[in-house]
Amino acid sequence: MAEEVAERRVEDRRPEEGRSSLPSTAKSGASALHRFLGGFPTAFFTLALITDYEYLQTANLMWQYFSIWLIVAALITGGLAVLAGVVDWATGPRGRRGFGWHFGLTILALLLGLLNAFVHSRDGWTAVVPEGTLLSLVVVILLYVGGFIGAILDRRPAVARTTSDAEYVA
Amino acid sequence: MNRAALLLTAALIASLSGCNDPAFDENSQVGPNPALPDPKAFLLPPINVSNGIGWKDNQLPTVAPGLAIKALAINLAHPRFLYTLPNGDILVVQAKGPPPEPIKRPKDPITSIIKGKASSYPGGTKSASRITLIRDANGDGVPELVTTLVDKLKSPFGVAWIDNTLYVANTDGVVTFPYALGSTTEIKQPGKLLTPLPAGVIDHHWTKSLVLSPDGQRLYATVGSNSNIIENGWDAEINRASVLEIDRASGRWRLFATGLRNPNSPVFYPGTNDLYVVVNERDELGAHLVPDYMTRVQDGGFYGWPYSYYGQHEDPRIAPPDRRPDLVAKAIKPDYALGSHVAALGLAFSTSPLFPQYKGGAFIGEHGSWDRYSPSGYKVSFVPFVNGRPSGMKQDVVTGFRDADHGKSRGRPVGVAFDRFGALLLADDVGNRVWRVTPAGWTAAAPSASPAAKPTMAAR
Repeated sequence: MAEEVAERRVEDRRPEEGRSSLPSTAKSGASALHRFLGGFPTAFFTLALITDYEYLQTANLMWQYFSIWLIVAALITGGLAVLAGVVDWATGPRGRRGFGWHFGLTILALLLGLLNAFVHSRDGWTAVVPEGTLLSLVVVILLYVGGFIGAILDRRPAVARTTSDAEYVA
Repeated sequence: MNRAALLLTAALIASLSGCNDPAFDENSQVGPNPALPDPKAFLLPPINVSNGIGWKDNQLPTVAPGLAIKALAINLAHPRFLYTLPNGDILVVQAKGPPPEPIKRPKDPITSIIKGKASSYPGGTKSASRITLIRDANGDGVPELVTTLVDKLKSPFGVAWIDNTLYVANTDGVVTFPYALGSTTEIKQPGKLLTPLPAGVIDHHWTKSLVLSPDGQRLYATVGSNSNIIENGWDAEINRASVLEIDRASGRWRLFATGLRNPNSPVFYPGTNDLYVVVNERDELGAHLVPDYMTRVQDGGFYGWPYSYYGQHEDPRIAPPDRRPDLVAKAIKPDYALGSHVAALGLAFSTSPLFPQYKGGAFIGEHGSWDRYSPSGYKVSFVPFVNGRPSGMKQDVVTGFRDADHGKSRGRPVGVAFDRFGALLLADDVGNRVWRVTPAGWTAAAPSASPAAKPTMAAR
């Protein structure tokens, strides 16, 4: 169902182009979902790093509660994004560079994020200091680097996926 | 990179599934100078809960040599605390916990589900907030009367009686009922509020115990902390983790002692003004930290929580801006450690003529642990006293509450008390029973009907 929605979006965006020239629906749907969901864990983990910093500054428990919920939200959306990403990779064209780095760094970030959820579930100061904040920082760096590599390399495919895609990218 | 991810996953799984406590001499944490290992910070703290299964018909707890045990009452509704009235009638305080705390963290609903399964057994009587009166006038261990004396209370725990007045410590306040001994089998009028106690939307350690001062003028109520270690914020802890002194006539109160994380069952040592209490210490610092304790409570004394434990051992979980070196410096070291996470809730001093071997010592109801892999507690133990002070090694008196083979609990002991004959009573809040311990082969010599005892209902 999500694929259909994504397909319609693609159509809306490019009404002048013929349907026949589009990639298969499965491919474009997973790809769109991948891009769409991929933003959430990055944003949530970034906010968790900020709320960790605020807790460090104020020792106000509200920030600690924020952090753990943001980390859990990041893990849920991140897990879904990985699923979409795997389908995207499996159904997409071969030879897209950078996918390995993007995948590896993202998985590592999510695993460390999971670790961080347990750390952040401790009671009191040690839920955030020092391991919690450190993990939040490492996760954000990994996601930024992995996401950047994915985005850059995905825009320069080694083999153009289809004529229309290549035109669109250009 | 993928290998790193793999290694990390392996490390994560290993850390989550490592289900053994480090080897440890448990006896080193019993007595006045417990061994205190360094605090740990966990990804997942040790957890081992024993889900309730209840007692089968022929099953009994195990008692120390020379003793016998028998159920005095069964099918109660989560019995927690026992109180023997001067005429020999036994009050069984049963309690349903307050409504669940608001969820603040993802961890909260998960822990409450895990711990909930260990507080009852499937098919058992549902918990209810009421006081049941048991009358066994001839002391044969078979009650002539079992009746609901007061119903629809608010998560009660402590109870005391003096001057034709029944004092009940609900979770949100001490209420009074006019009650002449033996006068009725059911108190119908609502209680009158004497003194409100800290409760509120968050009511984490909700059991409020009660004891009368030896002169009968004051009441002492225990108030547990509103968190493990301040994770619900400082505002939630006002007047908590304390013993309150209440003037019985006016209801005015003051903080008598503070820094006691979850104190329960305050009792005056017989013939003295020394107030003793058992205290549940903090969790998630390790399987062998922090030992629960029994201590004499000094007027104005501060016992550490949340800043420190066993005197000056600071808790690393207090945020630096909140630390109070001044309070840590004056924290009193408790008298006697009972072992880590045993969850001591019941305390009674023996003056019973039936147990000369236990004369003057303390019986302790240990509800049992969750925050360690190898369970501790789940028994009634005994600490000898010499000259009114704990002295000597803790001993097992009643065990067998936990089915170790299956990791389940048949029952869990809470309150302990003595009946008029000197038999030891204990409340079992998972098995929903009151157990009665006597010397083996003992029978009540001279059954004497209490003056006010006029059984009006058939024994159950």
